[in-house]
Amino acid sequence: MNRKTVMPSKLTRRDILKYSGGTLLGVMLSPLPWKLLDDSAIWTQNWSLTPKLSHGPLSSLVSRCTLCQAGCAVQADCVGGTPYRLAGIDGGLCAPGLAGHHLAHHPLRIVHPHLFSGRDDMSTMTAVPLNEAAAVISKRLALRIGSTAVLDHQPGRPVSEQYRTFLAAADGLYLVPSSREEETVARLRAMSSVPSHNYGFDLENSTLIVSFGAPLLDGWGVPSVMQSLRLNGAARFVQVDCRRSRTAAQAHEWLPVRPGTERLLALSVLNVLLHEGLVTAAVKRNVADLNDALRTTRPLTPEAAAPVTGIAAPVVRDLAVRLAASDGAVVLSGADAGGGPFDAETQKAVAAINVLIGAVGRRGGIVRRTTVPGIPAHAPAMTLAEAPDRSIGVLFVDGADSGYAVPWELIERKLQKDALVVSFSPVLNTVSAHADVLIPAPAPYEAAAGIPNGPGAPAASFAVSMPLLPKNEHTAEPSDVLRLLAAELGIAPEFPSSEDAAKRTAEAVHASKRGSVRTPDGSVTAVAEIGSAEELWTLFTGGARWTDEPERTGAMPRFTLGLTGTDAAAPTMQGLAMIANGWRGTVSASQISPVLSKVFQESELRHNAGTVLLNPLTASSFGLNAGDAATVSTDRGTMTVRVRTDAGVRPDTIEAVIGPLPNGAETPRHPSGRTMLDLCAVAADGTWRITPAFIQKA
Amino acid sequence: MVIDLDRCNGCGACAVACAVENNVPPAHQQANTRNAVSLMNVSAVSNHEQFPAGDTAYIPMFCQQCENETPCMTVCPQNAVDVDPVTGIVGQVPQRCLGCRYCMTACPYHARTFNWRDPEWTDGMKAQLNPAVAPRMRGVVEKCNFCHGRLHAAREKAAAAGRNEIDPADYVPACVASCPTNAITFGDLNDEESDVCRLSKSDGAFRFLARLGTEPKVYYHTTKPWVRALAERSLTRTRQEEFHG
Repeated sequence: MNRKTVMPSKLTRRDILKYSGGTLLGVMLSPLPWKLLDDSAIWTQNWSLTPKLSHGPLSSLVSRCTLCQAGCAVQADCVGGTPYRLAGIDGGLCAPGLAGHHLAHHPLRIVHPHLFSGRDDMSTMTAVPLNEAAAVISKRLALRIGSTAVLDHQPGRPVSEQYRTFLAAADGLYLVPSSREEETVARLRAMSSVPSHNYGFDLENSTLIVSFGAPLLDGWGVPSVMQSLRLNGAARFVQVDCRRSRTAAQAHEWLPVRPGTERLLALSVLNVLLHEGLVTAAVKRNVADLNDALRTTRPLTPEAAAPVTGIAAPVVRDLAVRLAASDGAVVLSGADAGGGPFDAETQKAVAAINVLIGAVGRRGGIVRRTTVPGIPAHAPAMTLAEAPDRSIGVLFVDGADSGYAVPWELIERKLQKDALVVSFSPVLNTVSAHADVLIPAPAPYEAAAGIPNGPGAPAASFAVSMPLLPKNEHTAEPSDVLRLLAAELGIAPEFPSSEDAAKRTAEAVHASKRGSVRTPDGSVTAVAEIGSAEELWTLFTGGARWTDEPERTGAMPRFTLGLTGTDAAAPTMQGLAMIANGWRGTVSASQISPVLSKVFQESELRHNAGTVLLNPLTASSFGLNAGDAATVSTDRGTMTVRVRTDAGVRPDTIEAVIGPLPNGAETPRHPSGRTMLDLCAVAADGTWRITPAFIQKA
Repeated sequence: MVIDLDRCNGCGACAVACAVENNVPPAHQQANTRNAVSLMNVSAVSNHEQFPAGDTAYIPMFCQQCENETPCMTVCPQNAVDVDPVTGIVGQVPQRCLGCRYCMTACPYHARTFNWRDPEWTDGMKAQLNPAVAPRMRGVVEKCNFCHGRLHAAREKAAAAGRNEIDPADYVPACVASCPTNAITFGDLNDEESDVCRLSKSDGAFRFLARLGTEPKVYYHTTKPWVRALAERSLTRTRQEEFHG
């Protein structure tokens, strides 16, 4: 059979498709497309989005952290003069402190003076020259409508003295935050017959430390010192806390008191001390109102209090006996960074325990503290909560950070209608975002600053934080603003820069010949042996800290306890008890470095704002699971939150996290937006620890 | 390395120091625990006892530096995982990584993270990056390498002094240096005289997932039996555990 080969006469569509498919398959089997894909991936990976590193000589500088009043010594490794990492010198830095050099470049950093058009997140900001901002303020001051006040977040600094000087001339109010470490000693001063005495906690020599709610092991005081006290075992920590806080979890003993009954527990301890013969005759002689105290505490036995507080009577009795028997016991109460302070009566009851166990003036207890030379002693400052409502016409809010939350509602309550709020904060935060005028102060490490006593410290001390970063030319120190205002208002005093003010303090310290100076390498030199004030200043700029000699206590003052009774009845509350809580320095009253997202957002170590913690049993009773969105309602409003569950949370409570807003390097949320803090009921006395709340699935 | 979990209080200083040291970028707005870029991740774990009996421990988790059949190295098609035969440190070469993430699947400790996005810092923060550590680009895996920048600096210092061996005091990873409770001890496990060797053999010392036989060079220590019991469990929380806390 003949077979004929027929050549195709024309190209069909099928042929074209076959050819195209074959070509495509052939190319796919070759390295070409894969190489192109790889190259384009590498090309896009290496766009300018991946930054290049700084160049320059490497160096090492020493300074002090100013994020809180602890003033930890810092070694900064620098490239081309710019710090790229920080490390603690005489103790570890806390997590926010390790990234403190980032704050000058925070996404919410403000570098120009601004005028705000309103007090909400829709307000517009207009950049203005410093003179124009100062003119707006002086015009309002000249009207003399309401009081002029300064809210100083870190009292006791050289700049604090400048605020006081300005206010003395302007007849204004000097205010300190309601929440602070020195709550108990401030209350003692108020109870004392000599209120000008300063006190501090001699915790390093304590053997028994009983804390009512103070976050002693979670950022309180100098964190590294507090941790070393726990770890070296010299002192026994007893934490009285309604929730399983970080401090409660680390303390040697935890008394899980029912929320809102801390005062009753303190009074029942006083009952045992006073009515079971545990107070010495010498102490009794020092109490002016002993009979009143006896009468007030008589019905509040541990047995009567136990059903309310949830703490068994023998436990309370044992605690009171140990407090009376220990010669190094101290009791303190303290604000939670997010949950705010205790009410005045609870503070008084806790302070009274110290008086009755003889802890005041005793080693390991509460000791007299001298003042830093050049910074005079003052009567106890008025807290923000104590300021009369609707009384302030012009409020200056200092730019430093107390580490504690300040609800805007509490500030707003003190303001007259149309009051002017001036913020010196270098960043937008939950307070400065509500200001009318924002005059940004230098960020941490941008200017020299004097650092006085650490919070609650037993001895007066002074150190200087030297700049590590160039100061932004548009920022202004508070002294610059005060100087401008003083000139406009015809006020005489001069206002030196923060560095000059620190130098003057150093001169006063040198002139006093008191105490000694410890340099970061551990060497100690008596001030009397330092030849000149310049030499002392050089030591300060190298990170040294001056510490005074202990105060020679002499005769102790008399104390008027002023205790008031309370019903031994459980507080009634509709709904769940919402307990606000936070971590010092991260509660959005300031800002933290964006890399703290490793702690707050990219791990479950701490929680961001907008998170609530529930006991799993409580959560299931509301049909909630971990990760669910829920709405929390209080009489202040409603918010959608994210639920986390933890068996360590007290049933029938909501732990509301007052944490930072997610603040990565991208566009951060406007800090004047509502947070859980805005849902908390701020009482007339400036407390907001517990709020009745309801929760349901969103 | 030995980590004393009884001393760790979950302050997070190690995680922040690690991010600053190694130029790990901050989170983007939608970042979470699953897509995070964290070389050091500290987890809070609970014994699931109901209030007030509950107990919590904090477990810093990062590359466990597996000695035997290093899982990530054996699966890497790009040879991007490198074990230093002298120090035993398992290193990662991002330039070689093609982003297949086999190593992440193979790692029993979930200690590797993937750069889903370009690293982002504010302009000023870019100038504050550690000059000794190159930032990693999008599309590559990274992990803890015991701060190799610090190791190089210590080696250069030793070389400048005419020494072959580094001074142990010159080489301490950032997490160790930053820990305010001194919970982390670092050194040569082969040196019988060293603290780290002694602690690794002490009562209460254990390694996570030791049954896998990868011989991690990171030890943990605790006196709490319930924490040690966690060491043989998967690190991923089940939905049941999520619910019960």
